[in-house]
Amino acid sequence: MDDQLRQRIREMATRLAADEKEKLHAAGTFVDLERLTVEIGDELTRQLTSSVLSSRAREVVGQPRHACPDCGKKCSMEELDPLILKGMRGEVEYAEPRCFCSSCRRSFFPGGQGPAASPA
Amino acid sequence: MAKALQRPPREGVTPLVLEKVGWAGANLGSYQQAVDALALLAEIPLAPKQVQRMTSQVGADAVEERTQQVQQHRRRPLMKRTTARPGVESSELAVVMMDGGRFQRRDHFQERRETPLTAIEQTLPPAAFEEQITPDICSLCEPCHGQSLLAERPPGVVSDTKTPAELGSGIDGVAVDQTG
Repeated sequence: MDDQLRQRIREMATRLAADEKEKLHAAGTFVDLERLTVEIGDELTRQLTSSVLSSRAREVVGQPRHACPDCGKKCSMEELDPLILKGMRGEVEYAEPRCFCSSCRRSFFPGGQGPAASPA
Repeated sequence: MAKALQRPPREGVTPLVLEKVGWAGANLGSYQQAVDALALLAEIPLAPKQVQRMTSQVGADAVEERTQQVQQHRRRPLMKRTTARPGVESSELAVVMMDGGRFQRRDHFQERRETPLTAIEQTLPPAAFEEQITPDICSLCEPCHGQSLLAERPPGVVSDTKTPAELGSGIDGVAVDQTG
């Protein structure tokens, strides 16, 4: 992690500590304090990950058509597949764009490797 | 996106969690132990069946990857297969110990023999092979690549020695780690 990012996190942590002063002071023991800060850190991790993934999904959705990995036919976006993945810091939620190729009769994730659903 | 993210397409976990599940499932005594360890140490709640399925899948993928790497390696030409990888320096000393008493090796030593042949040796045809008593000690450095350092020594030196360290210390200019 570079110093600039560390500095920004420090500023954010200072602001958060000031805003949540009462809650943090209520955590009397070290165990309570650590549990609370870990919880905050986990929530930050989940929200940051979801935000980045949603942003990438929007970029993919922005492209009108995507090539089928099997036949190469340009297919339009079918829907956004909601996903909940178990991560290191809890569950990460995001929606992954999914396309359907009518020639191959299969769904695929644009830029993805495997079929999203079995051939019908 | 799944490919770009290297997200396992069939799993409901992230790649880092899958890595931990695979390790726990493979290294702990049972899938239940793996579940307990993951819950306590990594705070990842999973069912034993999930751990079993993911571990089996990770294991099968690893075996498939290994098989492909072996096949890829075997398809390469001999020169590329036997050349040391970039950045890897070959050792200057190799100690070969065999459980079998004697072995035959190509005789490369006639031309660099310093002492003149004895009268009996002059009557004999030059040997294509030299029978040697194991263990052997070889220098892998240029220019005597692969040639035995013990070949010109009397057999007693070989037969009396017990360990590679003793073998190495008996040869001038060959440093052997005595601690090993």
